[in-house]
Formats: sequence, structure tokens, C-alpha cells
Amino acid sequence: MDSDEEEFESGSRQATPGVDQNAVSQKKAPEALKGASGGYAWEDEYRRSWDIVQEDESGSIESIVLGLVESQKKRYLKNITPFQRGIIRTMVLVLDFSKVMSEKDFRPNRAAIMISNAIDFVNEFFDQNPISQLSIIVMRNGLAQLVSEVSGNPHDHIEALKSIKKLEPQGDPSLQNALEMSRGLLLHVASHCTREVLILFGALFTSDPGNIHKTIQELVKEKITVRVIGLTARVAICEELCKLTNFGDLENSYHVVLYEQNFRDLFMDAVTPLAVTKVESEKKDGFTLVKMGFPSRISDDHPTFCSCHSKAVYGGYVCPNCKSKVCVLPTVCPCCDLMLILSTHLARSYHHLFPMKLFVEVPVAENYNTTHCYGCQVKFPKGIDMSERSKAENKRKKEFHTSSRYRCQDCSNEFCIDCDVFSHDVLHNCPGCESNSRKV
Amino acid sequence: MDAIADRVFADTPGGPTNRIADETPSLLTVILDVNPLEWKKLEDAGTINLKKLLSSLLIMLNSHLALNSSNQVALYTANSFSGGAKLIYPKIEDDSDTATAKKQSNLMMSSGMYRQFRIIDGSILDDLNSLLRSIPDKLRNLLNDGQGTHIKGTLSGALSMALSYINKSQKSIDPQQLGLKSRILIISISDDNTLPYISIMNTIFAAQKMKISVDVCKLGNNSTFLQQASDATNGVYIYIKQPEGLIQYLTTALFIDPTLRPIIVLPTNTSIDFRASCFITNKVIDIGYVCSVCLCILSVIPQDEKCPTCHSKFDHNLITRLKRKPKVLPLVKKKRKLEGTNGAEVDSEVGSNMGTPVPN
Repeated sequence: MDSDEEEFESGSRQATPGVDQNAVSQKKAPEALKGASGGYAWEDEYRRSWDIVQEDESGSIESIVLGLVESQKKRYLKNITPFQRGIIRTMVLVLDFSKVMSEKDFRPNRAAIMISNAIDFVNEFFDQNPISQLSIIVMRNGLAQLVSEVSGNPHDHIEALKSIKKLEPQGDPSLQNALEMSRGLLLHVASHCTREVLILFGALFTSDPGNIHKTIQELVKEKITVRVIGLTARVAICEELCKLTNFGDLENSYHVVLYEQNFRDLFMDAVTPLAVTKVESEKKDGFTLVKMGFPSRISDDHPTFCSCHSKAVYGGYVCPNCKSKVCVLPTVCPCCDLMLILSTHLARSYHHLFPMKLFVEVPVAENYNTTHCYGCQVKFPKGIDMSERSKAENKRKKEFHTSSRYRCQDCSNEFCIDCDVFSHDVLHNCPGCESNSRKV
Repeated sequence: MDAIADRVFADTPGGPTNRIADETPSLLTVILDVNPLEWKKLEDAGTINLKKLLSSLLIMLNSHLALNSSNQVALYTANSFSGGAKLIYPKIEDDSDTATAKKQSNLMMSSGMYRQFRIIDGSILDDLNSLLRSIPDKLRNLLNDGQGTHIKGTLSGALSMALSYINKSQKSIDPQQLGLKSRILIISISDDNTLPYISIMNTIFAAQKMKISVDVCKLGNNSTFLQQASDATNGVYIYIKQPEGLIQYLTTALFIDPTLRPIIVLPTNTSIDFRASCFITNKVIDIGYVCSVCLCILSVIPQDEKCPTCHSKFDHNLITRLKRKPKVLPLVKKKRKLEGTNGAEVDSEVGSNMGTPVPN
């Protein structure tokens, strides 16, 4: 139960800086449950959003709005330890489509939100895990129904998801049926791939035809990891399921959604490949080395037959081993059994393995070394007079709270918050380190 | 899975139905490779020098600005020995603006020139001049400081900076930059082996995600990775065989505005080499081994059966299976001469050494 509270709290942890906080001292709450004023989060006074906005001396609300916009910009703070990760993944996505999904606690209803999030998830999943495979199942009417087969083509999955949009959520969910079906789908997966199941579970019960505990034992035996995102509350059977299939690691495998954005964030977290656990890597007799070919693309004036579909197409890729032509990548060469892939597919996953170091915030000071962001050349605010800091009229001013500079520890260049987020989230390069011609 | 790449650009708004297309301003970001050693090579070959290229480039930048009054340009240098990658234009607004203004010399400028062009051209030429002047000293220092001349290519740094700049302009609420479409042009002369593979790939994906086309104008040797960059981002890759006509390339094939891209058939080369670079030897390979944990590409199986990047131990049985060479049949002895004497015997010997007959 207490983990439930933990979940509940994290939603309200983000206090808005620049806003006077109610200084009522309450009994000291445990660190994890602390609200904005030091007491339990639910003991805080309710803040109406329109109270936050106050006019300044000149009657303008521009500065406060800018402050709010700035505080909304969340810094990228993720764990950057370079874990060994299972990059070549096979995942079964299980969606609850039972009657409870027509509840309207998310708008327009749970099912609609789930599908639209799932579509984004599929896009993002293949964007970051280009050589992985996915399959989608729905739980409906006490059965598990296959929506899309195991495949590496995001298009198929998205089309399939769009087609079930019209489907009315119905009946009871059955975890056991869904798990058995996933087990079947993951049965033939090669040993160098991960086997994962991600369940979105809206109901608080499951109606199963047999003993689900046996199914869980089978999953453990076949090294299938199951993660669950609950939409309502924690359920004992899901807890057991996650605990047993994740080597007892419940914290990272079972989550309950707090609000709409949280749902999305939890869903998107599953895009990052799972770290290989110590237990796993010790048990294994070694990892696999896969022989792969990097074909060149050719174009011809006349269509020629491809060896994979026997269709006449213009251009394609030529297997470097046997020189046969295939039309889509990645694939296994139908002639010589060599795995064919584009180097760009592999490179897309590298940032999971070589994560970028986090930038450090520069403390507020009177003088700074830099005047402009190294990445985008935007001007930084100037240093402040320390004696002015405690004055009441400056309390709301942004430059007294933050220096707006974030420094890379390797190259000591300083960046603005936008470039910090951009280079960690999208670029995965530090512009400063890359611009230095001396470092190798 | 190739669909990933295609999808990113397929849903770009635009197309013939988009009527306001030609009204949107655009930002042209040019990354100029100024590696002095490579330029020397090109100059010795007698084809082109930096001066000629610059005059063509300035014409291109000016014509871009002339197309739309809200168009913008940015210029970065890469691979220079002093300071690596650097922003040349727009100039960082300094507090000492007056000092730079009076320094403005008129090297190639005539007074009758359109003022905006004159300012831009002047500032670009000044900055490049001072950069080039400092290079010989820098190079001498580098040679003297005992670390050797090994210098990392900084094209990825210039690309990263350009992308950060574009990212900021996309997010900005400044009305001047609202809806600004951007593209990047790389003028590269250096070889592939100066490119840091992972960071270049990262910038390519970032550009792909942001839907920014990367055009490449390649002088010197052909480049595999830059070809991949332009292919992934729907850009144009042109390998210039006749640098004398550079101005023509720059103002035609490399001058396609992002809004026109959905309509125009791009002058891309259709055969692209998608080979990868080996992590150990840095060689470009077409068949390699890939570690299933970290996806690093190896051209040889490591001796200690451990991945050099992530140190995972490989399965011994599997390695031996990969190392196993196909059995080579013993050569058929040429006994044709003897056929006359003991033909029957030869026949039987040949038959036993033959492999499985090929099905017809």
C-alpha cells in the first residue's frame, strides 16, 4: 500500500518556484511523501491557478508568465549509468479492452487515450529500437485476441491499432489468456533477443480459465519479463507477476498511472531497452555475436526481381555476400541466410549504450565566465548583485533563482536550458565536446 | 523497416496543395570545412581554392537572402585547427559592437552594393580571414607541443551547433523566426576517416527527427557517411567533379528550399553505399560481426572473445562456430595429359573429388 502513496505523491512534488509558498509547518513527513510546504502533500492548501498570476508594479503580467514558462521547462535528469542493455528486443504489447476501459476518467475514455498513446509508443519504439520486433494483443470478452503479428514494421502495427479504434470495449479481461498467447508468440524468439511483455491493465480483476500461477511459473522459466502499467490501482496478481518475472525488481516493472501526462510518460519509459540484470548475465554462458551484412543500395533503369518477394522492383539492396537483391531492410538474405541491415539502424541505438553526461547547473554568482549559450548563441542573463538578492522585489525575478547556465563537465562550455534538453533528448552529442579538435 | 526513414518525411506538410508554401521564410545554414591541409591538396591539384569557393558561396548566400526578405543565413566552420568548429555568421552580439564595426574592411566590396549583402559578406570575409591568419601559428604550436598532429574532425560539432541553433529558432516565440524552415548545407573536403562515427550518426538522427534536410557538397574524395546523412534526411548529395562550375551547383541543385522539396525531384544519386565502420580498425566494411549487447560493429572476431566496447563475454561455442572455415576441397590434379595412357583411372579419381553436383 505504501508504494501506492509514493506514486500518488510524485505528482505534486513539482512546486512552482517563484510563488510564495505557504509556510505553515506541519508534522514532518517522510522525504518521499513531502509536499510543497514540508507536510504531507495532501495537507497542502489548495492553490488556485489564477492566484499564482499577479501583476507586477507596472501592471503587466509578462514577467510572471515568463517565469512560469521557464519553470515548466523540465531539465533532462535521467539515469546515465551505461548499463548493458538488451538492444535487440521482442515485445508483446497487451492492451486491456474489457468493459472497464470505457470508463471516462480519462477523456474521452480510457480506451481512446490508450490507443492514441499506443500509436505514439509504436512510433517511438521503432525509432529507438530499429532492429526490434513487436506484436499487439487485446484482452476482450475474457479472451486474448491478436491485433498484429510479431513484426518489425511500425506501419503494420499502427494500421492495426487504428482499426481497433472503432472496437467497443467489452466483457472481462483475462490475464492468463493474454500471457499464454504472448508466451506462444515469444516461443521461437532467438536467444540474443529479449522477450518482453508490456501490459496495460485497466481492470482490478482477471477472469481466467485455469491457474494463472502456473502460467507465471512458465513465463519465469522461459525468461520472459513482464511489465504492467495499471490504470486504476495496484493489483496483487500483477504485483506477483512483475516480481517473479523481473528478478524481484518491482519498482521498475509495475506502475500505476496518476494522471494523463503520467500515463504517457510511463508508457514512453518502456521505449528504453531494459538493462541486462547481473543475475542474468552471470547465468548466461556468454552473449552472442551476430554476423551481419551491410548492403549497398542500387538503382536500375529496368525493374528486376527481388529475391525476397519475387516482385519486379526498381532498385533495392544488394547482399554483400551473395549479391542477390532484396527490397526491404532489415531482413535475412533469402539466399545465404546473412542478416542484412543498414548501419544507420544499428547506430540509432548507440545513445542507449553511450549515454551523454548530464550538465551541471552553474550556481548563481555575481559574475559569470560566459555571456552566450555555446549551442544556440542566445544571450545569458548577466550576473547579479548578491546584496540585492534578499530584497523582496527581486524575489520573483528569475535571475536570482537560477543562473540559466548549465555546464558540460568535459568541455566546460555552458548551455541554456533549451540546448541542455535538446542535446540530451534528441541530439545525444555535446556540441562543445564535438567542436574541440584536440580531444579524441 | 526502411519505412522508418520514409515515414519521417512522408508526412511533411506541403505538396502542391500548399499555397502559402513560397511565402514561408527559410534559414540556410552552411557548414564550411576549412581543414587547411586538405585545402592545400585541392589547391595543388589545381582545381579549386578556398577563395574561389568563398566567392561562389557568398553569391549563394546573397541569392538566398534575396529570395525573401525574411530569409536568414548562418555560417559555421568545421575542421579548422584553431578552435575546431565555430560560428562565423550571425555574429554573436557583443557589448563592444562599435569595435567590430569600425574594423570592417572592404576587401572585395564595392560601395554600390546592397547594404545587407555588404554587411554579411564583409563580416564573413573578415572573420574567415582572421581565422586563416591564425592557423599557421596554431599548427606550429600543435606540432611543438609534442602531442602530434592527430586532430579529430569537428564536422559533428559544427552540425551539433547548427542543430541547436535551429532547435532554438523553432521553439522561439519571436515573430521573426516563427515558422522558419531550415536546411543545412555541408561543404566538405575531408575524408571519411576524420569523422567521428557515433557523433555523426547522432546528428543525422537528430536532423531526421527535426525534419531538417542535410545537403552535402563534396569536394575531394567521395564520402560514405555524408551520403547516408543526406539520404536519411531527404537531402541532396553532390560529388563535384568539376569544381570550376561550383557556382552552378550551389545555385541550382543545392539551392532547393525546404518548402519545395515535396514537389521537386531531387538530384540524388540512386546508388548509396550503406557500409559501416568497424569499431576496432576504423575500416569501412560490408560484412561484419555485431555484438548483441552493444551493437558495436567488428570486422574481426576479438582474440579474447570479449566485446571491446562493452566487455561482454561472448558464447564460446558460437565463436568457434563463426570461426569455422568452410572445408576446402583438395585441388583436382591435372592429369589430362595422361588421359591417353590410363584414362579410366583418372576418371574415377576426379569423380571422387567432386563436390555435390549443382542442381540445374
